[in-house]
Amino acid sequence: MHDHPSSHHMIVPVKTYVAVFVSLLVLTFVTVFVTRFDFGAFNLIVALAIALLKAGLVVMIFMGLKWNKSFDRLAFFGSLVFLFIFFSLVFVDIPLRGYRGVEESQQINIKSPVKPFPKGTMPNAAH
Amino acid sequence: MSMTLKKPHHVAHHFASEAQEFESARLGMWIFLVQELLFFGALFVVYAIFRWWHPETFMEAHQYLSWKWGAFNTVVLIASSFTMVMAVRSAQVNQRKSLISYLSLTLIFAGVFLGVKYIEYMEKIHHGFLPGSFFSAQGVSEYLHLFFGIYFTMTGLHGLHILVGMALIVWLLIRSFRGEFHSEYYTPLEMVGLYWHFVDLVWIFLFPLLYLIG
Repeated sequence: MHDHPSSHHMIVPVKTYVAVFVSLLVLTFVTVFVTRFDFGAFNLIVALAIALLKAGLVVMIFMGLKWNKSFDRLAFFGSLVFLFIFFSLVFVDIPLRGYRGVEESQQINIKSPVKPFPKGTMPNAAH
Repeated sequence: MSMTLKKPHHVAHHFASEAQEFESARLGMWIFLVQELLFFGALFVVYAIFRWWHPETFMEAHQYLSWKWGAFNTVVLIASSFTMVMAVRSAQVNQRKSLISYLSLTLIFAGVFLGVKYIEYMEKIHHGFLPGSFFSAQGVSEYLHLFFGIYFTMTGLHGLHILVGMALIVWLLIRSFRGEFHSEYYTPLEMVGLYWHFVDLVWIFLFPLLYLIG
């Protein structure tokens, strides 16, 4: 076992942190920039792919999981497995139900607080 | 080396070594963050279900959010994550002055983030875009209030995490001034750093999912 006080400390070079910082900024720009193009159903996939890439950089470098070979890794990647099970069961269930939550709310007569806009007269609220 | 005295750290009696103490703290932190991940995961599932049921509502709603503020806050949080790793690194190489500077910068970025969030929230409240039965705005979709319920819950809980993080950074700053963190001991810095990056991580997903639907 290591007893030297600094043996478990990994000092990451500044340029690694700067590179990750710049990459995250570039990816933020990319994720905003691609909204100018319409990939149809792939819009969401592109946005999520970029977000996952950014998340990977933060977890591996900023949170140091790249160098952290301990049980922490198992805890984190293990949680991703459970998150995946959670997501996939819901995403199989919801589309296959054959009805939307709408019908339930109509049955018990919940009134929407939204004041309806006639279609086509919506003011341009986009920034 | 700085002029001030470095306060030595004493390993708690129930640990065999400093390394063991550090690694135990870090494992505890990761377990906590994994719990946070599953907690936010449930909120993302709520988001996914309502988006599946009411895609047109989400398309309409994101137009009432300013992607410019969202993108600005994304950059601010990424910058704060960078200053946070640099703060930890400064302690690792015994640079107390830069440790304090980087921690202060992180605190300022966090404040800017919450300031922008305040402006956004005020605008939403002014227009009546409130959750559930508090909703009082006009909309094309009759489910618009559901989107804002999700928006306020997710960004609100995220904002609460920022607030907690700011309090922790103030605590780190006080201890840094006292010279308690240096190459031999910086466990609290590392742990708050992990927490802070996690908060950044949540925002990395919130930004495209709330502001950039399309």
